[in-house]
Amino acid sequence: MSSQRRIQKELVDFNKSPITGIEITPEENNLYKWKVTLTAPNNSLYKGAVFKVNVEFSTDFPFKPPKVVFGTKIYHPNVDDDGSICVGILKNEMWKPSTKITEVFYALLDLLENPNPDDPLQTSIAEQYRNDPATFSKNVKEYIKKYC
Amino acid sequence: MDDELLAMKAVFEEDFTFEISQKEDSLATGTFTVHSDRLENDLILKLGNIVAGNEYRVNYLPPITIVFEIPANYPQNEPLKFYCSSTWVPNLTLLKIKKKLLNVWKNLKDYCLFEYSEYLKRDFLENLDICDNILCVNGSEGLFENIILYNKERQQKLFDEDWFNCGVCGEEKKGIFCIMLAKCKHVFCKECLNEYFTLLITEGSIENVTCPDFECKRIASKRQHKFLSDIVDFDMKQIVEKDLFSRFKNLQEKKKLEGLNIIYCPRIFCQSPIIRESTDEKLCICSNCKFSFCVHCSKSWHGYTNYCQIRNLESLVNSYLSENSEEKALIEKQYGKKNIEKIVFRYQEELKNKEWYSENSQCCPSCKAAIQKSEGCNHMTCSKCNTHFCYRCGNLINQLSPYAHFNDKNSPCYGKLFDFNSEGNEEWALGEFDAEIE
Repeated sequence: MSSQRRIQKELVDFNKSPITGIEITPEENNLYKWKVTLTAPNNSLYKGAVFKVNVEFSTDFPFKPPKVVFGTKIYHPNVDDDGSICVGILKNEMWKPSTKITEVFYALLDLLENPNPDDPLQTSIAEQYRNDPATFSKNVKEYIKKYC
Repeated sequence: MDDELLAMKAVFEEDFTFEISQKEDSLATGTFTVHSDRLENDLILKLGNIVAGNEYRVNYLPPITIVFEIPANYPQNEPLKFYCSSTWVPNLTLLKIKKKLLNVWKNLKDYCLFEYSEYLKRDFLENLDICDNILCVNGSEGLFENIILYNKERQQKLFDEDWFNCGVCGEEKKGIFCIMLAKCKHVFCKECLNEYFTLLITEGSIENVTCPDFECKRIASKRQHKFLSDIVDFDMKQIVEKDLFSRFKNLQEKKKLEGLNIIYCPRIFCQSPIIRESTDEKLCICSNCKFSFCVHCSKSWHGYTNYCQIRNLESLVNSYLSENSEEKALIEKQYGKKNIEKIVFRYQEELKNKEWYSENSQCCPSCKAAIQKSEGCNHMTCSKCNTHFCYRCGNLINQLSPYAHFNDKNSPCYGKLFDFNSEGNEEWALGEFDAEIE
């Protein structure tokens, strides 16, 4: 199956040149499900937090994007209560089969550094991020204390 | 046997053939076909004096062949006996090339076949009639076409032999199993392209049928309304099965028609697609940001009774007056039939006015008022600002000696104090005169 080969290749490539802050553990006996830990960048509001992220590939990979979901609750305008993420390159209509999984991780790290209130999943959080950064920052810290 | 011959054979394979000679004074005979390297700059071919239509770009030129005989005393004491042949290089140029090759041996006094091949790969261009990257081809149209055909085949052959890393499966594949997409020049293996496009066409999401490259910009998403795929038909035919190709074309067509009923919110930060309930409805309200706008002019809603503001009158009138009935109907819908007819009438009237002015009047050089002369001499005084000027040429006239303009031999209006510059004017003047008599 071509999806399996490509996923294996992604793992090999990742181990060759890992990204700081990202750790991947594929599920035992199932290459299609990855447990990922994401350490927030130091220059982000989420500094110090470690988030669990679940990555799930379908057999149509790389022709369809992988499902990437936060497993840890996070206070973020582009992540909803279920952990669903709004990132351009992961959208079905934006996905390109040549997108490397490292690019997805870079996009996640970027999302922590630069929340995107123009394309929110949670409009109230987006508004707060824009208009009341102090409260936003306080809530982010509270969530981290509670859930991470 | 000769080491040089064996080495050449090993490097150039089928392009190098030789036979051991039976004659006493020679070692071997053979032929050596040298293909040119990829040209650093594209060459534009020009056939004779014809430029337009017969201009083509090539990266590769057809080979030059050396037919040789190796004499017994080669290489130290005797040069290679040879002549050059080619389907496209003029004989005189071939002789020049031969001379250059002989010089190569003279300087080396050693084995020189490999040096010959180096010269014929690239440096031989110095002997050709090339100027500003244009290569003049002297010969028939057939020769011209052969050079172009050779270029194409050579490109394909080298592509087929090359290795590429497919960005989809991540594997190294030989070019013969790959396709270079015509528009963006990205290369992927046929297998991946086939699997990808087959999936997309089968499930009907043909708006995603674009180059799989991560960086490759999506034309489809950039252009609103119009559906556009960046995979050309020629590529697609090579990638997917016949029935999928026709399904792809059908879906594309369907999408184009559907596009008429989908409109995008004109607000730049929104741009949400909105499905129009009927193509006759002018008012559209964005379901996302609630912006109410007119589907024709994309400006905020101006009510049913007000028509869209006209932005470019001239082009609007011209397209309304053109033969295209479809366009005409669309304009009528947008601006109102009666309205547009009125606008066109006024526009044409205005145009006629301007024409009449330019034919029958002269502008005052200082206040620009259009002045018509009914009778008298060409020395005019503007009725508006009292400027003195010449009715013939429109130039200022010195108020103190107004007739100098007509008396000076160097003036363009010399001796033309009285003249009517067109018959129409005279008739008109007569008509006016008649009217007065009545």
